[in-house]
Amino acid sequence: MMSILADIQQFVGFTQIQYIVIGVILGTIIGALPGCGPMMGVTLTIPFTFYLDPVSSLALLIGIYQGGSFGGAISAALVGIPGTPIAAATLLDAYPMSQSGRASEAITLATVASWFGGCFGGIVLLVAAPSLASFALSFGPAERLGLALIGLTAIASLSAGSTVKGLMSGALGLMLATVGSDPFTGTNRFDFGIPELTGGLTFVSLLVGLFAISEMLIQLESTTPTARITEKIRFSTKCLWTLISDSGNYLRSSLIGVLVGVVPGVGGVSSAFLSYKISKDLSPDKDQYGKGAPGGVVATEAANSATTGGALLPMLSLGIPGDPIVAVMMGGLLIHGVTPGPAFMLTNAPMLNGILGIFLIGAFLLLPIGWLLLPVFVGILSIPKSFLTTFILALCIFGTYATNRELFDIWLLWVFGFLGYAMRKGGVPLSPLVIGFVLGPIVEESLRRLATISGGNFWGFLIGRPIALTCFVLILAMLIGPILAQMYRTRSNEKRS
Amino acid sequence: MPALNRQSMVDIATGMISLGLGLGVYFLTFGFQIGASSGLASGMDASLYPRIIATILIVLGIILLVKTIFLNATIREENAKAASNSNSQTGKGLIKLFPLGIGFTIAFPLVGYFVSTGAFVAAMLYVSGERRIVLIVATTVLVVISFYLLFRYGFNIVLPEGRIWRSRA
Repeated sequence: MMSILADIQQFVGFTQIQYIVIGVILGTIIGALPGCGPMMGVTLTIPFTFYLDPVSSLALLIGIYQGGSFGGAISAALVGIPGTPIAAATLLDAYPMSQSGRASEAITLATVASWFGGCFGGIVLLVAAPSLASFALSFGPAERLGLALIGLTAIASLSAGSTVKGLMSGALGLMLATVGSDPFTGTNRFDFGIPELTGGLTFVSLLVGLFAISEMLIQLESTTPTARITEKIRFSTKCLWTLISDSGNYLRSSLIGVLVGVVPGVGGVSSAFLSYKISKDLSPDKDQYGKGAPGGVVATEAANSATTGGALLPMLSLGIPGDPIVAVMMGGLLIHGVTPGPAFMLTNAPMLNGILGIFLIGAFLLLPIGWLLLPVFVGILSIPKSFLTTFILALCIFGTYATNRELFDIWLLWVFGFLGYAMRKGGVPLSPLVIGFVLGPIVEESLRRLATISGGNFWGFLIGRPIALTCFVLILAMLIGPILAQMYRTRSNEKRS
Repeated sequence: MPALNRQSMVDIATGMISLGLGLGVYFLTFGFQIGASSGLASGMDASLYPRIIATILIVLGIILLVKTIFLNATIREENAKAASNSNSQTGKGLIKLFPLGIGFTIAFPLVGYFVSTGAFVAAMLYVSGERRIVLIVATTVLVVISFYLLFRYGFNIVLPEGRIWRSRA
């Protein structure tokens, strides 16, 4: 414990704390804006992290992730539009509370529950990440390949829309990652004679184009008016007592959040709804749920904030991102030359502890920041959409240009913006593509090493590696499961008709 | 076979794009100048991994096509309902943003940061629905100057001055 504290002291100074604070504030602001959310926040910030050291850049990104996960609750409570999909479950009770004149109470409860859930997730992360990484130290290419493919398949099959489209998106991400020089032989692949492509596609162009530009295109088509907040919102300190009076709900929901977050592809939306359902089932005031029950707000916000800690666990300890936002963070770390995973744990244990400390500090700071800056966050909702869209677009363009100072990256930005827009319109999820792109080099390297080690006898080799074999069985189950579910649904429909 | 709705048409197009992309990528891999594989890499050359992914894309494209064309009509209706939110919009965003974005990217190195960014921001505000000229001008000036200060002095990035002005000078 003392060594962990010493590591945190070594890596987390005043500068890093400044970045955490900036991250939490920016994240909350972006999270509160309908249509934005933590993914947009992390995406827009990635280009600027190149100018920071790895720990400071992760401090900024973690702060945005934590703030963004909470920020959605503000718009959900005040205008009935969840700033992020994660806050969709929060809306169920927070908005009715606001409508009955309890907006301040709803937002305060969301802040306290997010703070508790985030801290809980941070503690679990601090305790579990080193143990999990130590366990994973013996993993070879077969296990790494299995884990990477599990992450990719889970996200593809659990994404909104059809599993086939999710898998297509993941395969496209793996394909895009092969552009450029082959890491083993140096052969140029898919560069079409363009010198800028020999080093591969720029991660920032791909990311910002896919998520931010396509979102701005959708926003330009949307006719939702800018929100007008007339009620005066202030932090209600009496809600702090719910930490004692409703402690079971806080603890249970946070635990659900962490456990769901660890599973790749499930994420904050599922954890919030699952926690909400369990809280409702166990509550003596079941009938109040959906009509403004404080317990509903606590359950959803504690769960989705705790999920952030759970989602970081597989990334830091195994090198496998649990959700697309974490995949983006991992991409940011890879650009800094830091490859998260068991080997990182072995060689850079103090730095890992520093990162875990940053997460805990960020989670802890959410409460005072939410408390002090609540009026600012609420005021942001009133900024006209035309100004926000223009500002975000300018940030996208110059952030992308700043990465390599190449005009080619801006062209790529438009190409990926168009691709992201087309994918959204076609109902193809974007997240598997990003995860495929980030995991692509790991998958290729592991596969090629495995091909060499196994001497071509791939399945025979797997029999002797139970962890890898389990991973591949799980992948098969995830691929076959939706098909069986669809067949069952078809049969039930036929019987009914 | 029941009639195809809009969502089914989108799915068919997606399946065909995946199929076409997979086939295209597969054939492009034959053009790789394969370097000598050695050591740990000797199990697979540079083209085999992209070929595996291309095959996956082809298979997934075929599955989506078959599934959509021969899908039970009830499920198709359910899918259409589920996807109605994402497909209810037109291509307005593309029409508004892409000409401006492409125009900006061409103008950026030619006329430089100040002119291209100023024009882009003002035009963007206008197409986003802002009609108050004073606000458009004020916001444009604010964005152009603040971004210049942030990138030039914050990140030490030299923004293009414009080839046109330089050649005249």
